This record gives sequence, C-alpha cells and structure tokens, in this order.
Amino acid sequence: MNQLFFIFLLVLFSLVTLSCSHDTVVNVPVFVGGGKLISAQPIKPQQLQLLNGVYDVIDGSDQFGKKVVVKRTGKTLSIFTGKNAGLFVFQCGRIDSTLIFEGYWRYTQGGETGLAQFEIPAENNGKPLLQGILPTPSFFFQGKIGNGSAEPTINITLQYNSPLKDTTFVILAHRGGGRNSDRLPESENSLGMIQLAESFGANGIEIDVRLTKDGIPILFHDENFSPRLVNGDYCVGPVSNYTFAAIRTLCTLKNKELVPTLKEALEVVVNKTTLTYVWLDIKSPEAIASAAALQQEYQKKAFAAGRKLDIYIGLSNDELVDRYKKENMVSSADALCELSMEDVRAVNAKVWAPRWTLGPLGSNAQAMHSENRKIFVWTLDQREFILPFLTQGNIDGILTNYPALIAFEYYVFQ
Amino acid sequence: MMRFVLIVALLLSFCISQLCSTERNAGPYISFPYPFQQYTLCYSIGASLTIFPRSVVEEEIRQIPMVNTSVRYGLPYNFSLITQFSTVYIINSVSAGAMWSYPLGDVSLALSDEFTYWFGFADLDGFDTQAMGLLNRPGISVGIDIDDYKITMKSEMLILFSQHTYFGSASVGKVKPEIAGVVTSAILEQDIWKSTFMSFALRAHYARPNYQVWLAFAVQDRWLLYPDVQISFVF
Repeated sequence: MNQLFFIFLLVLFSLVTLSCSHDTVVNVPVFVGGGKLISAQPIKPQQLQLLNGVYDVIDGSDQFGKKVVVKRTGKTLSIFTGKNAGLFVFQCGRIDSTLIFEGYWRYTQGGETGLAQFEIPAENNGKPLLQGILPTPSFFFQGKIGNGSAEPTINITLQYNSPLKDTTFVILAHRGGGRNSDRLPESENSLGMIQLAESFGANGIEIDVRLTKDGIPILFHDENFSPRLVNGDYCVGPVSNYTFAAIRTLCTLKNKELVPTLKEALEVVVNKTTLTYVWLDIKSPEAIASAAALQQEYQKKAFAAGRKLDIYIGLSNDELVDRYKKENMVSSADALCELSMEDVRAVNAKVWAPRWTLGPLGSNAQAMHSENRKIFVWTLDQREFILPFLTQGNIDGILTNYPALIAFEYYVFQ
Repeated sequence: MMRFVLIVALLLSFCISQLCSTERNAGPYISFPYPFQQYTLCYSIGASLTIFPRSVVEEEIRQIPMVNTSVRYGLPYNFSLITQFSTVYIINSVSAGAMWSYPLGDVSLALSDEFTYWFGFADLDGFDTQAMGLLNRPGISVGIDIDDYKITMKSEMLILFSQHTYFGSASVGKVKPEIAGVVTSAILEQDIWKSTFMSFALRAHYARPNYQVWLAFAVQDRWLLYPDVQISFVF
C-alpha cells in the first residue's frame, strides 16, 4: 500500500508541475529583403487618411468576414476585421504615383498570421488619392496575403462602402496594447507595445503603475514577479522588494525588453505616438504622488508640443481613493474612478470607469454625463458583450485587450 | 499532456505487475467500473482543487477547493446511476448520468455518460453577473482491483451544448454543440484505516477555458491543461 501511495504522490507532484503553460510569441512575418517599400517614398498622412472607410470584402470574406474597417493609424494603415479580432498593419509608401502597402495580417484572438501586400496603381486611383480626391464606391483596394512567412498569393479585394464617422469615441488598449497571453510581438506594459497600440486600433492606453522599493514608478501589472511576466531566475516575489537598479539588472520582460519606468513610457507616448488618452492604473497608494507629478509634467509637455493628451490617475479601490484625497489631489490632478458614482464625485474624477460585468448603465450614464464626466467601460473583449454597450450608446470609451475588435465593431455599428 | 499520459501508464504498469490475489475487497467504491450491486447505494463526500493556467487567470482568480459529493446507485444489467454535485458558490455543478460495467476478472471496463449543468454567481464589487451552461461527458473507464486498492483510469470528452451569461440587465447566450476538451483521470479507491474508505483522484482537463474559469471571460481558444486533485471519503 505504501508503494502505491508513494507513486500516487509522485503523479500528483508531476501533475502540479505540468500545470505550467508557456505563451509562445507569434512573430510578425517580414518581407525578405524589405519588400517593395525599400525603394518607396513616404505618403503624407492626410493622403493616407483618405483611405479611411468601411469596405465590403469581395475576395477574402471566408477569412476576414463580409466587412472591414480601413483606418490610418499614426504612420501606418490598419484594417480591422470582425473575424477573430483580425487586423492588418501596413507600412506605406509610394513609387511614383503607385501606392504600396506592405505588412502583415493577424488574428489577435487566434494567433494565425501572414504577410500582406496591397497596391493602388497610379492609373487606378493612385493619382487621384495623391491629389486628395476621396474614394468612391467604385474604388477597390486590392492585394494579396500569405500564411506565415510564405509569399502572398491569396487575393483579397475590398470595395469602398462608406466613410468613417468622425468620432471622439475612445478605444483604450489594455496594458499598453495587449497581454502576454495574446502572444503579441511585444510584452505587455512595454515601450514597444505602447508604440504598437495605435496600429492595433487604439487611441488611448491603460498601463499599470507600481512603485519599486526606492520609490520609482514602473510599469508592471502583477504584485509579484513570476515567469508569466519576466525572465530572470532571481526575479521572484513582490516587486516592491526590489530597487529599480536591481530590477533592471535581474529581470527583463518576456520578450527581453527592459522593465520601463512610468517616465519613459510617458516620454514615448508624447514623442512617438499620437495617442490621446493614458489611464494610469495605480497598483499601490504610495505610487499616487509620483504618478500625479509625472501626469502634470507630461500633460504640459504634450500641450507645448501642440498635442491633445489626457492622462488620468486610475483609482480602483478605497485605499487609493483615500490616499488621493489625503494627498490633496482632488483639485490638482485628473482622476479616473472605477468605484461607485459617489466615489467618483468625492474625488471629482473626470472619468467614471465601471466594470462591464455590472451590465449596461442606464440612467447612471446620464447622471455622469450631466456632470460632464466621461464613461469608460472595462475590459470588453467579446463581441456579444460589446454590442449591448454600443447599442445603448451612452459610453465614451472601452478598455479592451483587442482594440482591433472594438474599432471594427464601433465603426461598422456607426 | 504526453508527460501525464506516460506517468499514468507507468503507474498502471506497476499496478498490473502487482496483480496477485483474486479476492476482491468488498468495500464501497464510486468510480471503480466493476458492476454495482443492484439497488444499493454508495456515496462520497470530499473536496477538489483545480489548478488554473496562469495565462488565463493571472493573479486575478485564487483557486479555492470545491466541495464535492457523489452518489452511485446500482441498477440491473450492470448499470449504475451516477450523480455528482460540486460547489464553491462562484462555480457550481450538478451532474447526472449512467454507467454500464463489464467485468473481466480483476479488470473491469465501463462506458458512461453524464450531463453536467454548471452555474455560477458573482455579485461582489464590480460584478452583477451570472453564468450557466450544459455539458455532456461521455467516457470510458478501465479498472483494476488489487488487494485493498481499486484503481480506475477514466477518459471523458467534454461536449459543450450551451452557455449563457447575464450581466446587469443584459444577457448573451450560445447554443451550439462543440467539443470543449478531454479529461483523463486516475482514481485510487482504498481502505485507508479500519474500514475507512477513501478516494484519491488526479485529473487532467485538457480543454478550452474551462467552465470553472468562467469569471475570467477568457477569449483565447487554445486548449490548456487544468490539473485537478480530489480527495473524498467513500461510504
């Protein structure tokens, strides 16, 4: 009996160790030799913007659904599809009057990906677009895709349907752009991920802020270091046990990036993106003061650079609310509050951010709007849960792990 | 998954090599596929703990043990009725089904099928949510009776028939049968001490996000491993 019990314990132990899972990154495929863009001139953003619109999928609907949204996203052109939260991200250029778009497509909820190459020939709408003439319903945006690193050979044809409505709707990308479990090419809460957020469809980001032992605010979600987020055999236990120098020495994020400071992250937001919203999800009360100081500094920098940028101190629990009040921030900083409407009022938060699991907001939304506060709902990732909120039409933004999905649903719904 | 299968195969080989006495211990059992005496009842009470993949729950959901109870009732023609109930409030399940057994000396085989209705409630801060679903679990078991121990290897498929989620005043639902996973179990039932019978079960759920993590609202379709341990008293 003892032998059998021992083997049983061995199996138990093995089972426990078997429970670990590894998120393998899905790499972005690239064109060998740089593709055609290597010898292309840039396209002006305002010219690229003319391609914005809702398009019908003539060839490729099996893979991407019947409609897609095409949108200029910073310096890139993105296409958002409803299927599997799919997207295309194109770098753009022109050779004479032929417009070239090269990049990749990806199911952000699945991981399938491949190369993508589109063209607008000079004699077929290339010249008019460069001259500022809007596409018409007879405009076809065509190209090819491949699977993985294979050369693109599968035809995709999109037909222009309608323009995108001007909107102030906010699509916030969770953890800077996405989570490690989504196997994106950059780690969550990294500088690289922040720079990808716009091409994924976001115009804002949410980032997680913690304090190191020596009081430096860094971007990190979990309370403890673990193989889920970091590499480094000596990076274990609470983040707050480590100085910033120790973290930089001992740990990297999963894709080998350095753990960024909040200052570095806001520097990237202001200087390398056109994001307009940043939600600082503060993880400990001690971080509020330093986060608020950086909020003030970078909102001023953005203003000086002619940029619109709203940075919010996120208050997710009573401890944070109490500390925010204690630090006398109510009149000096901009807050976002996840708690009750009374708490929102108590801290004079600019944004109320209720969890989506409370359901549609009804008259509560009207009350908040009448007080000139915005409403962001979090974290919505599935179409069937998103639609009731879009249908009610009383929210100002959504925090999501799949900004491409929200962008698609929002613009097609509009 | 392969490692688990190899380890269980080693365990099974060890057990087979220990085969000796044909005298069967007549103690109670729940999972062992040997035919149940007609119109007799046996039940178990215990607890189980499922280890959730970190990529699904991160630090957000803490695993706490579920309380389980199972009942087996013998019917004619080697059939048994099986019911199970598990609860931890946030997630609960009720199962009912049948097993048909076929004895081959010290080895027994069984086919089983159970329907599981699961339901969960979350009315804590930030949640006004409920979810429920219906699963079917067809399975096959092989059991070996060795002296005081009854060892069962069971393999089941999880077929998800429906799932509904209610959040505030809204609800969404899906009614579409799909294979959601497979479960492989190794169960040891034995007399521990002075006719106190216990059951120890190790399960490997290899599945899309398990109903036990419904509160994570995971959207990734990847099949991941959810190991599960259960210990029960059998009466």
